[in-house]
Order: sequence, then C-alpha cells, then structure tokens
Amino acid sequence: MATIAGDRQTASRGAIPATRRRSRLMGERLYFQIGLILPSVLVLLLFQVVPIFIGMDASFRRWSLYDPDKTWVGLEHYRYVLSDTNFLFTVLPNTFLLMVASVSLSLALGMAVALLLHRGFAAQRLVQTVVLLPLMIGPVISSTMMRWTFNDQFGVVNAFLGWLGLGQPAWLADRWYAFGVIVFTDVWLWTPWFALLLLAGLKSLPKEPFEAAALDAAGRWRVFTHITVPMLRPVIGVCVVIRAIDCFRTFDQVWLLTGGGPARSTEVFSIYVYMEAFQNLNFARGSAAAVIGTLIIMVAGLALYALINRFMDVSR
Amino acid sequence: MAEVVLRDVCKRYGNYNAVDNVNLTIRDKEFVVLVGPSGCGKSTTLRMIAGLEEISGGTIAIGDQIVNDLPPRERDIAMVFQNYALYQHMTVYDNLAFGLRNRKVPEDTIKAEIDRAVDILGLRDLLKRKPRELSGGQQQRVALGRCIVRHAKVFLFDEPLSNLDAKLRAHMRLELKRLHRRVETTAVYVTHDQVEAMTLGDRVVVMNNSRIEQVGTPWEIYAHPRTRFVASFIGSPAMNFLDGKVRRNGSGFYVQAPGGTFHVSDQGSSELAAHDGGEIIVGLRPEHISLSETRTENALHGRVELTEQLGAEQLVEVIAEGAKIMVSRVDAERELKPGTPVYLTVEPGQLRYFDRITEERLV
Repeated sequence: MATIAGDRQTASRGAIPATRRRSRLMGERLYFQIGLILPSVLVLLLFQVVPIFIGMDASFRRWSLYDPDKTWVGLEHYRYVLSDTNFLFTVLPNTFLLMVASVSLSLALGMAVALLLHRGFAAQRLVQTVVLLPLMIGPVISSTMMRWTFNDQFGVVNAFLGWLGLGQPAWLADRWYAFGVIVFTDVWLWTPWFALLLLAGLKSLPKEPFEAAALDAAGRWRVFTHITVPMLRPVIGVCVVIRAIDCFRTFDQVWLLTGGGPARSTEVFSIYVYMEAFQNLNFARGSAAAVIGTLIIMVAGLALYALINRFMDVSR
Repeated sequence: MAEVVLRDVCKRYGNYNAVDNVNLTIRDKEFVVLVGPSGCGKSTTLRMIAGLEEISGGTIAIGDQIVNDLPPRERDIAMVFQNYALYQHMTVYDNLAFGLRNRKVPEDTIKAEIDRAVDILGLRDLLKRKPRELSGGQQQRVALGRCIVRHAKVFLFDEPLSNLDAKLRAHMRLELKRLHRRVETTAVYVTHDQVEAMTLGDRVVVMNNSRIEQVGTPWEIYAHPRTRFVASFIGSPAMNFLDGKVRRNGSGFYVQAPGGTFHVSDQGSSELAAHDGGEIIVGLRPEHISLSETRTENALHGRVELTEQLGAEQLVEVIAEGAKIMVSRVDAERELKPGTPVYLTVEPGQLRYFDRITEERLV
C-alpha cells in the first residue's frame, strides 16, 4: 500500500497542493486499513461485545421464560448470588483451590518434563511426542476417558488397586476423591502445555551463565534454583497468569467427570453459572453470577499480573 | 598456581578435526595467548582446558593431575567469557560471591576476598548494582573479579575484550597486564587480535587450521616466523610476500623478485644455499622497507599506487611488475602522487625466505 501511495504521490506531484494531496492519500490509506479490520471487528462486536452487554442487562432484570416483561429488579440477583452459601462457601473455594492446585502442580511437572527434554537423551523425540499427546486430545474426550479410568466398578485404576490388594474407593462419589480426580485430569491436560512453553524458554537461554556456574562449582540444584529459574522467570510468569485466568473458567472436565457432584460439592464457578442459567432456567441469576465472576477474575488477574511484574522486576 | 600441559590433544566433530594434536606446556604463572583466525581451534582448546568441551584424544594436565575426566568445577579454574556471562539477576556482590558460596566458604572470608578484589578492580561503588546497570567495561571488571576472588589455579580468558570499543579495549588490555603482574596466576588467553596477543602474552601460540603453527615470545614470533602464515598474521600492516628466484653471485646469493633484485645477507646465504636456482617466497615487512624517489642499487623498482595518511606516518602501496607491496613508516609530510616511480630497499638481514610449496621458513 505504501508503495502504491508513494507512486501516486510522485505521479501527481505539482497537480494538487501538497497538504491536500497528503490528506487525501492518508484518508485512502485509512479506509484501506479500516476495511481490513472491519470484518473481524464486526464479528467481535456481534458475537462477543453485544452478548456481554445483553448478559449484563439481563442480570438486572427478571429475565425468565415466564416473565416476558423482563422487569427491572436492580441488584436483586447480585444480592442473591452473593448471599448464596453454596456460591460463597463451596463454589468459590473450589474454583480457587482448583486454580492453585492445577496451576502449581502442572507448572512443577511441566518444568520437570521440560528440564528432562532439554537435557536430551536417546529416545527424546519419541518421549517428546508422547508427552505432548494430551495437548492434541480434546478436553471432552480426555475427561470422558478419565471418568472411565476412575470408574469404581470397571475403571483401570480400581482394577489395578484390586490387583495390588488395596482398597477400591468410589472415586467420583466422594467429594475430595472426586476433586482429586478433577485436579489430576486438569494437571494431566495442562502439563504438556507448560512443558512445551518452558522448554522453548529453556532453549532460548544463553549458555554462558550455565558454563560460568559449572566453573563456579554450582551443583545441579543450585544451578536450577539460582540460574535456571531466575532466568526463566518471565516465561514462568506469563504462563502462570494465562493459565490461572483460564483455569478460573474450567467447565468441561468438571462437567463430564462429576457434573459438580456429588451433591454440588465439586461445583466450580462455570458450572454454577451454567446450572443457574440453563438447568434452573434462571438466566438473570446466571448472568449476575457471570458478571460477578468476571469482576473477580479481573481483580485476581490484575493482582497476579502486578505480583508477577514485581517478581520479574527482581530478576531484572 | 600450576602448570598446564596439553599432550596430543584432539577435538573431533564427526570427521572434522577442530583441534588436531596440540602439544603445549604452559608454565606456572605464565601468561600465554592463543591467537589465530576464527575457526582455528583456539577457543575449543581453551574450552577443553576448562572442561566445557570433551577431549576426543590426548591428555590435559593441570598441576600434576590429568583432568580429562574431571568436571569443570573440580579443575579449580576460573574463566572470563566474551560476553562476560554474569548472572543478570544477582547483584555484583552476589555474582562475586556465588562461586565461593558454592564451595561452602564462610561468609566473612567471602567478604574479605570481595573487599580485596573490588579494591584491585575499583568496583567498590558498584557492589549493590545489577550487571545490566553497568557499562561494558564495568561488567568486564566484575567478570575479572569473579576470577580473582576464587584464587583459582588457572585463569582462562575467551576473547574477553572483543565486546568493548577500541578505546576501552586498549585501556582494559593494560589493566589485564597490571592485574596479572599483581595476582601472578597461570593464565591462558584466547584472542583473534594480534595486538592483544603481542602486548599481553609472555608467550604467544599462533594457531591455524586446528594446529599450532608456532609457539614463542612475541619478539620471536615477530622476528622469526616459522611459516608464511605466522609471518602474515602477526604484524600490522601485514608482511609483503613476493615470488623470487634464488641466484648465485660468486660465493654469495641474490634473489630476483618483481621489479628488481635483493642482496642476501651471510645468514640468508646459508638459508638459501640448498635452493640455488629455485623458486621461493620472499617476505618483507612494510616497516623495514625504505622508499626512495632516486635510483638506488639493489632495489625494487615500482610505482606508487595509493597512499593512506595516518597522521604520524603514511602507508604507501607500490606496484612493482604487478606485485603489490605495502610500505609503512613513510614520512607523513612527503608528497607521493599516484604513478610516482619509487625504489624500495630492505636491509638484507630483514628479509625472510619461505618455501613456495610448504610455505615454511627456509633454514
């Protein structure tokens, strides 16, 4: 575009005063740029921004199928959600617990896998492919797989435990066992993602500080804690923020594994919203919960971001 | 304090020999410089001494111990890298202390050592800073400090000055020399810069094509190069090489070169005796040539092609029968126009003769 504009400019030199020529050319360029981004802006507006506002509007009204008037009720739904003991004492703790457990475990495991792959060994390519497999399987499929793996009668886990002569718990019928299975599935799903990004980070680190550390008699653990981790901090920081925010809206794994049960004890934020809106058909209450969740994750995200920024400043 | 002995040291990557049969003894407290063009194997040799590269063949001994199978940390060496390799997230103090802490040295001893090092290097005010807040020269001094506090047996330097600008490089070169005189540790220094090699080294090792070409004091290397490569690599501007024919003249010899003939000294005659009538290469250093505009006996006749004014002197390029000859140390005020006919003479004792095929010095 720039060259076309440039050619025009030289061709028409002298015919039109410089300022007018420039403004017309700039305008042409602007139209072109707007034309390029317009389709995606329209899609974004229609399918993301407008629904968000409709949803927010709904959260202030009595928006159910039997009330066509959609009466304005102000903060009533917010008051309901914020005084719902289930939301406050089960859903939110579960959501944050899942976030902390899943992110920290998959970060630790991903780091271990990345270090292993970075060191290089004979069957590295094969192992690398196998390790990355969970990334290529849809969460719905892997969650279904996990549900069967942990099935109390037919699952491999219990078959194996039985073979060892150990107890065979009803995995998905007990709150903490079920929650454990959810965390396990989430970690299984996301470890490769961490491994992949951390491996890329490791590969981009300069090798001289590691050589200097080898001459400085630093053992493996000291190299890891004093050289590798500080140098990887920016990568770790970005991974944790992205993953933590993403984890807040976990839905598929929990829905397929426990459906929030037993007795709503493993319900997380997305499930709560879904249940309110589409099971109880109380769209307004669901919307209110969604807005509250958005606010929470915004605050949490900003806090995390600030924390990690400070963390990275230290490394600078 | 220790001697470093390399015996038949090789480094192979598949079929490629990066270092080929290197034999070298570096004496205790000696400052040895490995110099050569890039890819000649000098850095690889240094990294094998450090333990950062495996040794494919031969042995390396530090002190009385063969270190082939020792990991770097057990070799008791310290190294300065080209890009300093400082720990960016640690303060200068922690950078200096890291190696000592890893060796479980008590904190007060560490503090005392760092105190001593910062006094030597003038880093006292920078201890709380992070490396990225320092200039290149300051970072380099921190890297040196990391070596000093360690009291390692051997210091290794891998092109430590090449990231600095010319002025700072000259300054740091002097500092390094002073430092070595003060700490008296065996040092191996790798560079591709012949000026660094000549000024810093007690001895200079010239490497080319994975092999050592010559080992000697800077003066030996300059005055008595063993091969054409060494002669061309050391000295600036580089030595001129002319194709010559050896001719007998009664009991002595002379050499016929493009544009004229050279008389040969008595010493030279014995060097050339076996090559009567043969074709050789004559080497003459630009700084040993005197240039005259009046006809002179036993001189090469040529024409001025180009002059380069350096202020203190001029460099003059002369073409003699198609051969290019560089002349330096020409009075800066002399006016030499391109095309001026000139006569070049050299003291016979300053000529060097090389075999045209092996390119080795004739003896």
